[in-house]
Amino acid sequence: MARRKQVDYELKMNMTPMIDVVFNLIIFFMIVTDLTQQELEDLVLPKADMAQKDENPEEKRIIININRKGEYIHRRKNFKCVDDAIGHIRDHLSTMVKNFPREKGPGDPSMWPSEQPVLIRADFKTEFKYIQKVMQICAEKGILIYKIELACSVAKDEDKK
Amino acid sequence: MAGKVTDEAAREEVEMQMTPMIDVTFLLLIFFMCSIKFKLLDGKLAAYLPKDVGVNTTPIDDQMEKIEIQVVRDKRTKIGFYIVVNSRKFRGANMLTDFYRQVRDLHIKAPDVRATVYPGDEIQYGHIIKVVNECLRAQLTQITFRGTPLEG
Repeated sequence: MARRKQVDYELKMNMTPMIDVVFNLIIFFMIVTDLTQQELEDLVLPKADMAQKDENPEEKRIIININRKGEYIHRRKNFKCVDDAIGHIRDHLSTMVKNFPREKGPGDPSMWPSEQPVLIRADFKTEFKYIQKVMQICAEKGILIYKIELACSVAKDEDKK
Repeated sequence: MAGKVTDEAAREEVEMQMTPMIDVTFLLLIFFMCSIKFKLLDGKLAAYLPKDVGVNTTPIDDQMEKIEIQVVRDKRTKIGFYIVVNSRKFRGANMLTDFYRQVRDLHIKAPDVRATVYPGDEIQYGHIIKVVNECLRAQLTQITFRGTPLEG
């Protein structure tokens, strides 16, 4: 009988789908890495079990980070000099506040307070005087933001006990 | 002869060497996976600045019950601060529990009561958060901040 002919098959793995998946994963990690570090500085926030979760924050929300040395970090810019930081934050707030909705009340509309809050993120050990400076700017004429959100980490159930 | 060589050359498949690319890609993937640090969802405590001082002219409601909370730095103790509520001092290990009870009682007596926090010198952000947290636990949501004028 005729011998079965041995066929030379080259066994090849199809790499295309794997490469696709890997590239997708890389793109995902690159994007997520950038987004998570955009406005939130790496700080040790104090724990508070009564804190509300920061879900669905507004896009235009202003976040001011203050580290334990008292350095202000705003939009990834680190201000070592307090006066520079205060000037920058004041300028930024007064520009931003123009687009914020205001709480209507009696009298001059320019004196109506802003409805939009400012989120202050500070380290557990940051002296409160630095936060007070931001609060003072918020209360200044032309800015008038009186709603403040103090960032803290939400205590886990084990911590609450 | 010449024709045979040409046929063989035509039969050779031109293949891209994928191995180095896959190596690099995997290295990149591992790098991103290791370096990524998902930020935990932050929490927030709502607070207010006084509307009735400074440039704003909202009338002061003198009839409203107020709790004045002073948070004072105390370097001698491990906790690092003590609290004074309407001239009553709270200090020691059970300070926060006692403070909570006091605020809760005041809030039950006058549901419209509002708290004003006076942060002392050198007081830390974490201490203030603890105080605000206890106020919120006592259902006291109207919390404002007053501060001594600062230089600079």
